[in-house]
Amino acid sequence: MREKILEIENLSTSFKTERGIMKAVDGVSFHVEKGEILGLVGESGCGKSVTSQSILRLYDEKYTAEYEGRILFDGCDLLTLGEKEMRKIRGHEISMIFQDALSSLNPVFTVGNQIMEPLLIHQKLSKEEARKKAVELLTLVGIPMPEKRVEQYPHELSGGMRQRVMIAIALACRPKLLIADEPTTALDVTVQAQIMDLILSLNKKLSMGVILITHDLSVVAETCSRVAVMYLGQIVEEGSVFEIFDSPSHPYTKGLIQSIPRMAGERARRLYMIPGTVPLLNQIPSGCRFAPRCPYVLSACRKRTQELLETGAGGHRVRCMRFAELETKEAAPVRAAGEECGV
Amino acid sequence: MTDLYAIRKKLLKEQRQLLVHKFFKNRLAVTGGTITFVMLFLALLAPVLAPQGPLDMIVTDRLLAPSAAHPFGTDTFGRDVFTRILYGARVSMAIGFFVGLITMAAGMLLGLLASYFKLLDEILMRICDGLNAIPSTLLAIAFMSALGGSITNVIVSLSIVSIPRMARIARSAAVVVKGQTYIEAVSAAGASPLHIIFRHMAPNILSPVIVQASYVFANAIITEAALSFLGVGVPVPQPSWGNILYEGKDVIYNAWWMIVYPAVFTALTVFGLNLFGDGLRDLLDPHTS
Amino acid sequence: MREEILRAEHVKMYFPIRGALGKAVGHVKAVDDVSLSLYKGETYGLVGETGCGKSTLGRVLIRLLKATGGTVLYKGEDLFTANEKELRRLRRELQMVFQDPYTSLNPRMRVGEVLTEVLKIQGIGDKDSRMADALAVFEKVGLLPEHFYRFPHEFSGGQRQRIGLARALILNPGLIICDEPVSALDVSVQSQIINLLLDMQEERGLTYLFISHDMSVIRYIADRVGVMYLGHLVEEAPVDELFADPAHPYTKVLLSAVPSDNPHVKKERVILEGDLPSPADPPAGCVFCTRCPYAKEICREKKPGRTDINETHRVYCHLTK
Repeated sequence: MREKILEIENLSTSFKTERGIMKAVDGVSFHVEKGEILGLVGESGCGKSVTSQSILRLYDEKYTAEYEGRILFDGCDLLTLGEKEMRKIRGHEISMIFQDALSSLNPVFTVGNQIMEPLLIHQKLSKEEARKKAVELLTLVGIPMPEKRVEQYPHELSGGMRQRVMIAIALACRPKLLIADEPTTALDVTVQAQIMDLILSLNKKLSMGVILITHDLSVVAETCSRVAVMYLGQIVEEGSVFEIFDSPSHPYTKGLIQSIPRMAGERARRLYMIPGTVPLLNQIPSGCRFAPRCPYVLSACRKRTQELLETGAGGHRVRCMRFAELETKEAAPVRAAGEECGV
Repeated sequence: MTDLYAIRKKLLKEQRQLLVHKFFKNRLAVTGGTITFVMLFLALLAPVLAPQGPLDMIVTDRLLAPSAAHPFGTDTFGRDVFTRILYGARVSMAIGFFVGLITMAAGMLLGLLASYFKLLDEILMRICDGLNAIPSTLLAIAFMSALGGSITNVIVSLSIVSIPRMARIARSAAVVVKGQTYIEAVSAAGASPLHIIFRHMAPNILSPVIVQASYVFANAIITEAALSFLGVGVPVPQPSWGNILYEGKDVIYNAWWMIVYPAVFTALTVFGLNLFGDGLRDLLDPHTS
Repeated sequence: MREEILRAEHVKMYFPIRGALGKAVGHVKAVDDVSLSLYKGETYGLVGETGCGKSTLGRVLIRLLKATGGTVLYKGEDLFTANEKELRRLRRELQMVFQDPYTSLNPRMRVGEVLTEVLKIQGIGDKDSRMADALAVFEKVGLLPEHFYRFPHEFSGGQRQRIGLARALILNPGLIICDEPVSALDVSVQSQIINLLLDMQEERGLTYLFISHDMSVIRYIADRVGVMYLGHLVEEAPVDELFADPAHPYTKVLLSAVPSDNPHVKKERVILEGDLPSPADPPAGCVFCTRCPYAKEICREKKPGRTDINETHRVYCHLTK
């Protein structure tokens, strides 16, 4: 087993809102190994972005957010650090790239300035050195004519180029961990392919850990080595990419995988549907959180809170009391696939 | 169908309750609303509340300091300042209200039309630019000297002065709304431009317009005071807050009450209206519920 | 024989670029010389990347935008020369479902009204019958009567998209342009909406023009597919043929870029060089020549003509024999 660079134990993030306290992340535990890409998947509202932003403690702790649990990075609990120490971690040891590259870049500074900024702050390089490094970084992320590009402003670049610049900024201080939050969602598929290839090759070259947050299961299938599936603030299944795609154990994971239209093979007459919609955070169902939408639900599921259980095989964990049954024989769904169950 | 009718009734009630609930949770709106309401109340009930008539002069009681008989003192002609402030509230509030209303209606109409018809847009916006280039108080003074001093003329000139700004706000809001997909969707259903403008665009630009109208209301009260203070607003002896100030400026060293009280009333009302406007802005956003 | 319900010939949509004095200094050629036919009951998938003109083409085909040139015939009637009255009648036949479920509904209008209003604009029925019609469509798309008087912000993205579909269906149209109707939705909701679209098509014999950038959705829902690049239709074929045997280099690139949904299969990629040229200044010759891995001399000089690979498969490329 490789060295774990990030270990999250029982992380919960709650927000104080007008309608009371909302627990957007509830008892999430996972780890990231050196040089691996961990996929964090789930639909909107499942808490995957909140989890990633909690790692960097990006929420306002004074008024809105409250964290619980432990976030061990390099053996040190990030939740115990002061704001000043935290600033040294952000953008230096752990970097983040976002979905919307245009609004993440400052329109009034040149690309070069923005790449140089973390170098000047964290690594205390001279202007000359920082500039040289910026050109190097642009070359690393595959931007042609880097000497010319450092002088340009974000609006002069295409969407794919901007995302590359974002990656260059994120990589400036050689972070040990890169968090990529939906990095390709706003991009076209040909550009997405370029960016994902870039993230993959950088991950190998620099052997940093990557958390890839996405709703696109195909992107996960292609790039990640391990996957954690989230639903309503909890991890419902975690395992290697092969375990998740070949033999998904949790009904939600099964449903998600069956819902994507296939690029190969037969086309079914109708797509598989997970009935219903994701409930709001202030209407979390009791018992298993997926029970109201689950095709295999039993009355016990609605009563008992489910723990994330090891299934035996190395690191594969599932939050479902019927997983063993569902794995061995095809348990009969209690309701027909796609049947509506109240919106 | 009756079933649906019941649902509708229940929902409307719920939505109304929600709105009332939201209003009372909004501290800005409640404070501002209360101040404004008290002022309106005082203005409306002036004849009942006032100890004497606004023009009644008691020559022996000139420039008396505040006392039990004259809580805000008396002016140079021996008129009760408290009474005059109450009656002045009627004038000031009426001017503010009508200027707000006229500005809102006209500005919204111009803004909507400008956002939809390109040529009209060019013409209207250039006129607005021209009017905006002159300081509004100066422009109001010019209008007043051309039209002559009367309450109606104050309303007319203040409206003309504040319409360009309102039209601009309405126009920019309308331009945003016009770009929304639901406008495209109604045109796909075959709707006419007028239908689109009044049925779909107007309700959606209402909130910035109403908020602006509350500022116009407040501003009109200030500008009226300024105009009357300069002697080109509401003609004497009719009381308005500006008039009382105007008459007080000559005796400012021996009768502070003639300046302080009308000024406090003006400031308080304007403050209340501005708070109310800020509160409204939060309340009128359909997305926060 | 399939019944052709819409035929577009040499459709052009140029948007003027205005200079400082409002004079046109150039044109963005959003759609340039596109011809296609839609047949009754089919789903025609239109794919391409951002800025390729697919959404503009969809809007031109139902005259939400007035084209710069070409003709569009709906059941033999010319849409571009139709007068106001004829156009209003034709609107009943030609409807659209929009991409963004959040901006496509008027936030100040109860969703029931959204539907009855459409009938009112078209002068159909009286107040009660319009209400009954609206409720019937409501039920069809899986909404409940109690949703009738609610405001759009009270609904989730998927439900809003159902309302958008209901609005398109209520006039009983022949053709619905679906402009990326599922791209803003989550996977599980996406499949609900796709299935609903298919159910409605089966029940009413609807024709869809389905615009999408998602190849897997297109593969699932479309019968025939047109691929667009920089305002041009570069290839058109039945869905299975296009996915199995793409002829245009751009189609090949597009297909190879789609991530595989099987972790055991690592795809061989054709990575595209450079950026999309500006549609205001498209390359001379073939529009794809600046990025095409196979480009030859002729591609840079001459616009490729139409090559018919077979009766239903056409491609615009010099290199196809």
